[in-house]
Order: sequence, then C-alpha cells, then structure tokens
Amino acid sequence: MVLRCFPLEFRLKHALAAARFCARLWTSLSLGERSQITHNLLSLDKKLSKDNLSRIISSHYETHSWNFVINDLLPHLNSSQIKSFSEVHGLKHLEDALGKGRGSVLLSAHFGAHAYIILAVLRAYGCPVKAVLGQELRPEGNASRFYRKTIDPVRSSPRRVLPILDRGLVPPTDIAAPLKRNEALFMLGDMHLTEKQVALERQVLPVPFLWGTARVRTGPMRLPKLLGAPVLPTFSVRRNDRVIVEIEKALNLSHGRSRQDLTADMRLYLKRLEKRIRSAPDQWGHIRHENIPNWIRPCPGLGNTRIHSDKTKLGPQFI
Amino acid sequence: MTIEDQIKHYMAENILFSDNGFEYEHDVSFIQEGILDSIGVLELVDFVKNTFGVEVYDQEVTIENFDSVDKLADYIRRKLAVNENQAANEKMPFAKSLSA
Repeated sequence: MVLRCFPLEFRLKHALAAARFCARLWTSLSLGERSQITHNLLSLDKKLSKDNLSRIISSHYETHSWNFVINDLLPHLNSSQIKSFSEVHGLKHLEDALGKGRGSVLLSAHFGAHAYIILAVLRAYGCPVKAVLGQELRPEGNASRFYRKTIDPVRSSPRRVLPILDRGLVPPTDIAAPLKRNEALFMLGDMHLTEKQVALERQVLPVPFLWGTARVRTGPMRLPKLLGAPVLPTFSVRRNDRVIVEIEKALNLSHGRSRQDLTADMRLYLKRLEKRIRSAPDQWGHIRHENIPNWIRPCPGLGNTRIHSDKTKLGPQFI
Repeated sequence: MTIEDQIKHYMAENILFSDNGFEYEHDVSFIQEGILDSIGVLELVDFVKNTFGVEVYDQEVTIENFDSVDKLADYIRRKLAVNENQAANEKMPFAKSLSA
C-alpha cells in the first residue's frame, strides 16, 4: 500500500526489490507454512540439502510477492510496460494451432506468474485470448482485517481490466464463443478438488499426478474436445524481475470423450506440469498448500503432522 | 428406448462418468444438484443435435429447457414435433399454400 504513493514507473522499476522485502516479511511471519513447504519439498526430493530447501522456499515467497506487486500494477500498465518485464516463447505453436480454424485452449497452471499476469502478457504480445476462471473466493469471516482490506482487493484488482469469463456465471454459449471465433481461451487445469467439492461437482476425475492422485475438473479438456480445438499447455516462469510465458506444442489428445479418454488426456497435461514442478518446485503455487496431500506421499521423516496457518481458508481455489 | 432413457444413458456415461447409471429422479435439477457444469450444458446441446437431429438455438439453451430429464425430454418432443410439421408442409406445398 505504501508503494502506491510512488509513480507507476518507479513502482515497476523497483517491483523486485518490493517483492523481496515482502517475501522476507512473509517468510518470517509464516513459520507454519514454511514447515508445510519443507514437508512437500522433501516429498518431491528427499535428498534436498538444507541450503537448497532454504533457497527454494525464499524463491517461492519471492515469486508470490512479485505476483502480488505486479497484480497491483497490472490495471494501470500499457502493453509496452507489460512487455518490458516479460517474454513469450512458443507463439508459433499458437499460430499453428489457430491455423486449424477451431480456436485453441491455452491450458495453464498455478505455476510461475499469477494467471492474471500471464493473461495480460499474452494480450500485450497480441494474442487474441480470453480466460475462463473461477470467481475469486471472498475471504471468510475469520480472515484478518489486513487480508480483507489489503491482500484480497490487490489479488483480484486485475479482473476489472482483463477479458475474463466467470466460470459458472456466464452462459455456457459465451464460454464456447471465443473458440468458435478462432480465438484462444486461457484456462487452469490443475485444480485439485477436496472431497466436499467433489460431492458438489460431478465432472471430476481422479488422475495420476506425482505419487498420488489428483481429483481434477475435466471441463478444461471436455470443452476443446467438444469443439475440436487444440490444447496447448502454457506455463510461466518468473526469473528475478521477468516473467517468461511458454506456450508448448499442442497435446496429442485421444479421439473419444469417454472417462478413459479424458483421464488419459488430463494425464498428458499433468505430466507436462509434473516436469515443470520437478525442474522448478519454487514456482509451483500449490507447494505450500496442505490440501495437496493426495499428490504428495507423506514423508517418513516428518510423520503425518501437517502444520498450516492459513487463516483465510481459501482452499484449493487459491490463484 | 424412450427419449428419457436416451438422456439418462448419455448423462450417466458422458457427464457423470457413472457405472451405476443415472441415479436421479426425472425432475431433479441438473444445475442445483451439480450434475451439469457449463461445459456439460454444451455437451448436452451437442447430444440433442446429433441424436435427435434437431436444431438448438442459443436462446433456447435455458433452464426451462435443459435443467432436468423431464424438461429436456419435453423440449426435444416439442422440437421433433416442429420438425415433423415442417417436413409435412414441405411434402404438401398445396396444403401449405391453403393454410397461408
């Protein structure tokens, strides 16, 4: 909030320094969450040294803080300002996919930059893209005043300037419209739903992921399959004060829409995400969440105790 | 197989991924029960078009037409009746001009 007193260019130039300051503050205040990340990281790689663990955790908080700082700026930035801190690789893949005339789904994840930032970057580079995203969950009553008044409004502020279709609120035909116009549709495919959510949403399938099973929504795969649109995994990586958005080659999807077909197709996408997580675990947004135990085998060294101090209870919808 | 049975079979196999068939009453709301998500509605439209050969216009994709087995079956019957009337009129242009 203090940063808002400074001119836009100054804030953009010093975004990384601001993120590092916030990250240090956040790391020192959330000891429970650090334990959760340590637990999850050791499950990914038991041989991680103490130094490496510490480096990954710092980088993780830095990425989240940088996302937060950029999210606050995003509604005020023009295309050239957005381009000044970003790169897009693989635009040729999108071009090829759109060449088929059936639109394209850019299937992303809670990895690297925030979904809003990826969307803004793609648009700054001229991609005809809209996003289908769930609504931001409002913080529950027990969330701190600081969270409700500061964190939450900043998190969701870019929504007002980005072309986002609210999943569950807009008519279904509106969701299909961009693909029918041969545009790209940005979606997140890595939501792991809780038992409670699965009881409310039936279109969820268990798909192998890491060492366990993720219960994922199948919508992001069913829509392109219904309309014959190619699916291109799209990930981002934050490196210091830059974000690199990488559009991968289209997935080689099965031809049917049965349970087996969808499971195999979601697995293809999750395999690509797994590869990313293994090479840069600090970039994975869910690494600090306790709602991913099914993805991560309990680590014997730490027992089954899970310490978590997320007062906001935003659950798996956290973006 | 009745229209209702065809809808239930499609829903169980392609929307609910259920091995136990469609376990709901015919008047249960798809939306309120979380049976259909947004993409499911589009899939259902595709099913109606391909299985029954009827044209579904965007403005007809409403809760009144697509929110339960009963509502959807009624909608399909109405559309099939319109199709039959049109086909009959095309076969008998003389009757059409008389009615006009």
